[in-house]
Amino acid sequence: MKEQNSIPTSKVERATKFVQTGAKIGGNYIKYYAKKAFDSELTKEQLHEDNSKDVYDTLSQLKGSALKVAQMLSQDKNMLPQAYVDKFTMAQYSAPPLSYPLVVKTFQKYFGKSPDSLFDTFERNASNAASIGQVHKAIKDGKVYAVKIQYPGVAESVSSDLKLVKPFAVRLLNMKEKDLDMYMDEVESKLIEETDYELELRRSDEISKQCAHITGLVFPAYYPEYSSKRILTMDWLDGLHMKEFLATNPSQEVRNHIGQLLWDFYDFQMHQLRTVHADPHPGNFLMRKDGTLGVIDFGCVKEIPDEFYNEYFKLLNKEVIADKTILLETFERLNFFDAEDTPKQREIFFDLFCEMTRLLGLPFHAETFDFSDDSYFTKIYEFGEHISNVKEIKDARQARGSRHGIYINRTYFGLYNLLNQLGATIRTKSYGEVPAEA
Amino acid sequence: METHTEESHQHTSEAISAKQLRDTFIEYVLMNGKLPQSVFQFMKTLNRRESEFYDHYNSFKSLEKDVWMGIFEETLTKLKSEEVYESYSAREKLLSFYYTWIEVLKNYRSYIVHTSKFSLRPDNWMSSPIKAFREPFLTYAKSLINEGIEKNEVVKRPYLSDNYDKLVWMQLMFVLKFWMDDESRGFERTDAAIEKAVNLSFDLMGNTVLDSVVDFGKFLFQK
Repeated sequence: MKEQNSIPTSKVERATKFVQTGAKIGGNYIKYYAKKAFDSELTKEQLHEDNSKDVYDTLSQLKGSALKVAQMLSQDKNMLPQAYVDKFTMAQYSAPPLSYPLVVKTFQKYFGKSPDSLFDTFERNASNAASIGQVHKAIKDGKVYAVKIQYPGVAESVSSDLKLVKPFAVRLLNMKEKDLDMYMDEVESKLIEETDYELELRRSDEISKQCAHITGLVFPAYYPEYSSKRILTMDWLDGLHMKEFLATNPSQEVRNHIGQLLWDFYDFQMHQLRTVHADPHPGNFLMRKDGTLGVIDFGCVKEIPDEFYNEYFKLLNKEVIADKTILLETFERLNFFDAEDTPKQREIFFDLFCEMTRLLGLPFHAETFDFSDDSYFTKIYEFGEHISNVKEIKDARQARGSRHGIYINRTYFGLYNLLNQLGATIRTKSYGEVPAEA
Repeated sequence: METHTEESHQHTSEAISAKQLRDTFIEYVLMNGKLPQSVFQFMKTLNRRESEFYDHYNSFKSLEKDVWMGIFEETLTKLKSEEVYESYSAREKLLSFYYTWIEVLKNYRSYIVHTSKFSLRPDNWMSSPIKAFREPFLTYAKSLINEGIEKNEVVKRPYLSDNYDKLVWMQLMFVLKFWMDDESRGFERTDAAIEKAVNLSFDLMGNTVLDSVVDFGKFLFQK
């Protein structure tokens, strides 16, 4: 790598850096195809290597916000999976809208019919972009449907894209490759599931039926006869997204009500279903005029294995937190410690994990919790900052925490964030609190 | 064993059609892994006289050309049978052409992949049978581009816009190559490649930042 004399600071310079990388990667592809024309032996590996190297070079030159997150994480392996998941959510596959001819082709492939003949009307322009496709509005017999169509090739590219970033992730995060693999597997399997609309249909159907008793939640019905691996048809739900909803200045009462619905929805899934909609992204909820909450997009669903569930939710139990022996055992079973840890390291990590557990579990420890309290979130960030400055953590190369934690943590972070945006006060009584001896 | 006379084997009832000849030829190439040695030998497998071949084609080469031409014509027929096609923009028409073409090509995939080893190679390019439909395709592409100019999707530029059709032909060859190498399920990667390639080309043919750059440059030089 070339030596770096100055840190690019201004926005323009940063943007230029990214453009340069973009151009370089483009150049790599051109190089690849040009070479390929003369030499059919040239492999894609060479291309991938060129790409990841250029990305890495650029990223490591950028000390600004773009890399701040990644750098912080490179020092705090425990937080890594979280950022990793966020970086590699399906959003990164967002593509320009599918052309209508491709929509027609996709319909013909799966139904042998064009969208025009399957529905009475089918809007040619997409009304929404979904994470890996787009949503069209369609009408049949007076009923309005939302038809989600997936961009072609996404499923195919998931694995190869993850392979492409892996060498770069290993270098940047200074993490053992084996440990990284564990997380990569988890992320990869979730991403691949997200591309399977047939699976999404089954799960949406199951979860919405099981949650139907929570008054105030609205789930669209799904239509297998108009769905396939790459097309998913459901009821069209009206409603506002979070930002638009907040712009209407809803009263505190309404905010609390919506927030409580969200909370109850997640709490029920975590503890009763042990299967959870693991993507609490603002785009997946619709605030409706009648005060109900529409839930869409069950692409990312995490099933919680019992052995993980029992240990993880023990950490909500005050008795467990108070008892050092049990707490140690629990941390141990959640893979927070590594066999190679020195006694001193164990002690440092133990203290850090205690603090983290206390901080993140805080909302559960009282009857109600005010999520509009920004100082709570500031504390979480400060704690993250603090962790990143602990030398022992900087030097350790092991990953800590179970792979199942990735999506569960992400769900809670997402939920906390939504509630913070809503500024809701929540009755945080939970369905689940695992006793110490479980 | 052969007790019948040759005449008794001949299907004298009906003349053989060009399509039958093409289909049999493709099957022969796929089953034997090579071109027939001679027209005579090929016609013998059909129990036909050699002369019947010449009623339609004067060589295997012209037959191979006709395979490509047939694919092109079938694509156009399919396109025009779709009601929605006429209402498309030029960009959508071209996309639609590619998707339909690839659909038709699928029926000939083995043949195309197999023969590509000797007839689609760059050194053999000038005499490749695929060039058979170059001219008609250029005409088609030209009509799309003119339509695009009328609808302001495509900008007229000196020299360049007269050659857009040839660029589209090169793009078509790129799509073909991509599809032949595509190992994704249902050739989904090809769909994505088509989408991206056509979007890029129409974005370039339309009003782009380049026009503004050239315009600004001209202004500076002219003072």
